Order: sequence, then C-alpha cells, then structure tokens
Amino acid sequence: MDTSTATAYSDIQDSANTKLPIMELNQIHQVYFSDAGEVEAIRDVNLSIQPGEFVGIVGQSGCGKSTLLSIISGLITPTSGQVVIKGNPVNGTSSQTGYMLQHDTLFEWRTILDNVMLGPEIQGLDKKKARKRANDLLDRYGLAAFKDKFPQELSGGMRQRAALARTMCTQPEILLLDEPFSALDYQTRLAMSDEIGIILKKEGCTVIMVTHDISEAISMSDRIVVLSARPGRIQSEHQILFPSAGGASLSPMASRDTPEFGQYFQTIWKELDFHVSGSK
Amino acid sequence: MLADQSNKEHIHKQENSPERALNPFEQANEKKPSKAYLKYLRQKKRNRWTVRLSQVLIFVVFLAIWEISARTHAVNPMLTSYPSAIWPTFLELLNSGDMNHQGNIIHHTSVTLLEVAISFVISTLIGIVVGAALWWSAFLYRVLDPYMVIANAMPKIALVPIFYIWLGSTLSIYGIAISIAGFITTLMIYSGFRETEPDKIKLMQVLGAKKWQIFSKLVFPSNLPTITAALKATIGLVLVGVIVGEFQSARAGLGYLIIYGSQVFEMNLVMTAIAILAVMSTVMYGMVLYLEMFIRYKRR
Repeated sequence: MDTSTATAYSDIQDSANTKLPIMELNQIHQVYFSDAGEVEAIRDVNLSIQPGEFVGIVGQSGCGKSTLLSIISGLITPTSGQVVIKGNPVNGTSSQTGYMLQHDTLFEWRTILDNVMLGPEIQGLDKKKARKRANDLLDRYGLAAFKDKFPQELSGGMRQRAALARTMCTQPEILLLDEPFSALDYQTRLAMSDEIGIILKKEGCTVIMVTHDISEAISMSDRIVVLSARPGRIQSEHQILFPSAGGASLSPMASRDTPEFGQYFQTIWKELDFHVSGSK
Repeated sequence: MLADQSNKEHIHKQENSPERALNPFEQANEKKPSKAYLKYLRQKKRNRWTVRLSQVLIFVVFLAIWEISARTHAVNPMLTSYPSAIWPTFLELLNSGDMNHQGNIIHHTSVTLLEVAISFVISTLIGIVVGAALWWSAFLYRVLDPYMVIANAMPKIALVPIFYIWLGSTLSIYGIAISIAGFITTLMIYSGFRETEPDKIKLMQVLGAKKWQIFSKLVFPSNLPTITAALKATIGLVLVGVIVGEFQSARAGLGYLIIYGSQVFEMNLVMTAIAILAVMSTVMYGMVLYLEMFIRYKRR
C-alpha cells in the first residue's frame, strides 16, 4: 500500500470532519455471457461504505451477492461501473481487500502458521514482520497451541479462525466475507459468528459480508443491504441499531435477545419472501 | 473481554486437543482393557495371520503342483521347466554367464534395471512438464486434445519396428518404454492439476498470486498424491515397454534372456529370468507405494 496516499487520505478525513467513505460502488453493472445467452447478474448497484462499518448483504441465492464481492476484490472487472477504494479505482486484485470464502481452503500440506504466512509469501512482504504478525494473530484467535499443527488436526471452528488469521495477515483495508460460516454445523456456526463478530468489531475492521442467513446478518452487521432477485439491485437498506441496549455495543449473540432483532428479522424476511412468491 | 474469552477457550481446547480425540482407546488403555476388548484384539490378530498363511499356502501349492506335474510328466518339462531348477540355473548364470556370451545374470538384471529407471524418470518428468504446460494454457490443451486421444488409444507396441529402425537397438528400448508410459502419466497428472479445488485457486488469485505462484504453491503440492498414484501406473507400463523393447533388439537384459532362452528352448533360463523380473517389478512397485505412503504420512 502507498503510505503517502494513506496519510493524505486521513488528513482530508480530519479536516472535513465527516467520514469519507472507505469504499464506493458506482453504478456497478455486470452481465455474463454464455452459449445459452446473456445473463444480467447485477444492475445499477451504488453503495458507499464508511471505515469501520460492518455491512451485511443479504439476498436469495443467485442474486449476484458473490459476484458483487468478486467485483469489489478486483477478481472480476464489472461490465460497467467502478469500484473506488480510498479514492483509487480498483483495477485487479490487491492487498487492500481480504477475501474469506465459504470453505476455509486451508492447505493441508502446510502447518497452520505456514498457512497464515501464505498471503505475505505471495505478496513478497517482509518475512520477519509477517511472521510476527502471523504469530500475534494466532495467539489472539486462540490458536497459539496449534501453530505447528496441520489443518486436518483442527476442528471446523478452529480452521475458520485460522482462515481469518490468514486473511488478516496481509493487513487488508476491507474484509470481504462470502458466506463464511455456511459450511459449519449450526452450533459451530452460531459460536463462530459470535466470536469472529467480536474480533472484527474490536479490531475496527471494515467488513462486507454476504450471507443468505438473515439472523446472522442482523446479529453481526451495522447495516444490511437487501439485494433483489436477479438481476441483483439494491432493494433496501437497514441501519441496525439496538436502542433497547442503551447504546452499548452488543455481541452478535447478545443482539439476538433484543426485541429489535425480531423486528428487523420480520422486515427483511418479508422483503425477501415477497420475491420468492413473486418469482413462482 | 475477548481476550478472556479466547484464553478460556484456549485452555478448554487444549484439554480437548485433537490428538486425544484421535485416540479413543487411550483412556481404555490407561485403565485395564476389558476382557471383551482383549478378545477383540486376539480375534483381529488371528484373522491377520489366517490371511497371511493362506497367501503363502497358495504360492507353495502353486509351486508344488508345477514341480510334481513336471516330474511325473503330466506336463512336458521341456515346456515348463521345474521350479526347483530356477535356483540352480540362477547360480549357474551367476557364475558362468549365459551359455555362450555376454556376462552373468547380474549384468542382465542391471541392464534392464537401468533401462527401467531411466525410462521411469523421463516418463515422470514428461508427465509433470507436459501436464503443467497443458494446465497452464487452456488453448494448448484444447488444440492438442484430439491428438492426445488418438495417441493414447494407439497401441504403442505397433511402433516397435519403427522405433527400432529409427533409434537403433538401444535407444529404441527407451523410446518404446517412454511412449507407452509417458502418455498415461501425462494424462493422469494433467487431470489432477485441472481438478485443483477452484476455491483454493480463487483464494490464491485474491491474494494476488501470479500464475507460476498458483502452480508452485498450490497446484503442484496439492497434487503430490495424484502424481504418486500416476507413478504406480508408470512403473508397470515402463516395465512392459522395456521388456518388449528388449524382445525386439537387445543384446542384454532380462527381456533378451527370455527371448533368447525361448529360441534355444532353454526353459530354465526363461523361467529364471521371469522370476527375477517378478521380484524386480515387485520391489519397484513397492518403492513407489512406499513413496506414496510417505507423502500421505507427511500430510496425515
């Protein structure tokens, strides 16, 4: 990352005294071509995200949620429109974004520590510093005793935490989570979303999480964006606040017990449900 | 609060650490194993020995039938030789060399061994290099695909005379062995490369990996098991190629001994060469198997 832009950026932010968005999506439009014809996956998506914000994107399967993440990460160049991160248009993948997939995709021939070192290794970062960072991350995520173990020796939840450490080790500005817990069993899934939610909040990460699990999205996010069925458009946005907690920031697990939680769920459920019956 | 939580969990996880979980009998062993469990262990051991014994028995019975039917002239010993003749023939070959020329049995065995080893290494390298090239360029694969299908389906044995004419008596042996083994090895390794988990490739791309990094850090290491599996096929095919090549053109080697022995109707010689070949191929296959187990063990 270019440090000079980073400083300039924070200067502007201070002087304006309003938060500049860390990321903006401008008129994103995505069309896929195949032998069967053209498929419009995403239409006119505009979104701006503040530093430290946790945004959940929900929608039915096939509404282009994952495509949107691929576009933000620079894996896919959108048919038209632009992704801007910290004032710079995204052009190909970069270490600005960290991507966490549904499956932990840990390499079974590498130890946990070596798995976490994968990103720095590929990006040619300072080995010594990266190793220290990797060790710190693993300590903080409760994997200190498992650094030299192989992924097969870890439980599903531990593997997912290791995958998070791997993503964080390259120090991304924005974290993209693509259904990160959906491969886990229900109990682990609840525990992990709580745990990882707390970690990410505490570290002040900017996160975009795609999920089809409405409860998960409500419990973890500051804001939820609902995508319509294909072609995916932003159907609505919901700021997630829990006034009943009296301004205290709640852990994902605790937020599930608030009265607001149920209301958000009902609202978002109806919005999605409408499309299910509509598409039938 | 988080630190507390993860600490607590950390301790908790250690108590339940997987090594413990992996060995459910550990507790049972620490206490006194139950009678039923001991019985189970004895039963298992006995089963294992019954299998071993049966295996040995089959071999012994086979040799006995062969020996007896030859001795009683139920079959013509001119055609079958005797199993008991193999060892004396072997010793004779060891000391004197074969009847008229070209060194002793050690020489013949090492000639074949060297041919097999060189062809094996070259076939493996071709498999990995060409497999990687095909993985690298989807265009190349799509262009070459029909040719590879034809080349693979083609019975390479049919090319033996051509190889002999083109490459001469020694090189043609390598040519045949490599053409028989190389294609299968390449196709097996390529299909492993191609089936590398798409999610892992996506991960590498997101981390900004170049194509050669994706290959060297992901595709190749994740396919080591595929490669060793391919090597099991390679070793068998290389042996076929080398022996057939020796049939055609060699002045030395086990294949030469077999063909020479059959021409002069010296079945003792043929059977001895075949027995050595059987031992040799078993040992080589075993080595590849050992390599495979080693890689599996490294990854658990």
